[in-house]
Amino acid sequence: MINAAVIQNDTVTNIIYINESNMALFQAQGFELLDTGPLGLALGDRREEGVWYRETDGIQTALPILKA
Amino acid sequence: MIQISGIIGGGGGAPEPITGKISYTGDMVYSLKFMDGALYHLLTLESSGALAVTGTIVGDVWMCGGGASGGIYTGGSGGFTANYFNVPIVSAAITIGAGGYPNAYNTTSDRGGFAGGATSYPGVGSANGAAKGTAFAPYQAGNGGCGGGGYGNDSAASPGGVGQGTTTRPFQSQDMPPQCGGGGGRTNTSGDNWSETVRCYLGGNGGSDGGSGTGGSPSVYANRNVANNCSNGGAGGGGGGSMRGYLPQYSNDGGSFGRDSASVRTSFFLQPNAGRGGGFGYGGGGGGANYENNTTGSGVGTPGAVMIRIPV
Repeated sequence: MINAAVIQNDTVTNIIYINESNMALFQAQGFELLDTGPLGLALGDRREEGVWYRETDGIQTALPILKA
Repeated sequence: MIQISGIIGGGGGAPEPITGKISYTGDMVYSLKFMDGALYHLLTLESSGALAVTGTIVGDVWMCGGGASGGIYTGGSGGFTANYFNVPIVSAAITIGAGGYPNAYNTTSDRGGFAGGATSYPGVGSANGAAKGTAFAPYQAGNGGCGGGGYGNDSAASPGGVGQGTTTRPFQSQDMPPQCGGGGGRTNTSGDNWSETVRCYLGGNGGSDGGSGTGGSPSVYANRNVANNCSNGGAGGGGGGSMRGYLPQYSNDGGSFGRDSASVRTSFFLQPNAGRGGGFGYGGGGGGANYENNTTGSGVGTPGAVMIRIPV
């Protein structure tokens, strides 16, 4: 079971709880889903030219964000 | 968790089975349940999947979004709930909102925790996940089905998160337990924990059954052995973050009244973690962070769910 980001217009619009075996079923219906785990995707994150960004403290920061 | 496809019906004299009429590709729990004097087939959908329905079935639907994770100071709020009565139970791709994940506090913006995802049953309705808390003072849990607890502080104690104000019991039935409780806020002390008397800042309790969380409190002095007043989660919510201990043995366990409560100190030398959302409930908010464990310490929110009840 994973948390999957629902992506619309290059933006994470929802995070859903789903078994990996159901991912293909949803993708076949037009959902773009990505496992949130590797990048820590959250609501509102945006993708530009294949790179994910989050606005943090007023700055667009590429994901994943690593602890300083 | 039990995963089944279709409904198992009984034999002679048992309620009429609905086997073959409904199947689900995600996780689903089936039971027979008396509510308000009537017997129902109760289907609880716990993960996203495709619901297939044959024929015409009418029933009631309850759903909730995912709970928010706890913030660095505040408890996470529980997911919002929604009821739909006497609606056609139709085939659909159902999405279950995830709980907010535990906070890593990599940035200041993350200090409010992370929001829960929305739950949706196309053709019937939807329920939003709990909002994340504010990342700057005065720290406050976001809005949700039940509010998360506030942060205790002398100069900037925060109010609890605002709940939806209506019951979170599925189908508004008193025969169903309330869900989506808020997580408790963080409690900590001011410093010299090796003293017999310590100064405690108490986090607020998470809200229950649609209520708001309570605010954090200014400091009080208490014996370190009785200052184990960690905040508590509401029904379905996580326990609050633990009191800080400069010495590990003076740290206390997290709050205990969340459904899944807080984790307990597993070792004399390990700091306890904040509680995650309810293990037996749905959509609960996570507890606030453990002071000494800010990097990983907040409780995770629990996923939402969809419940369908069909009269037997």
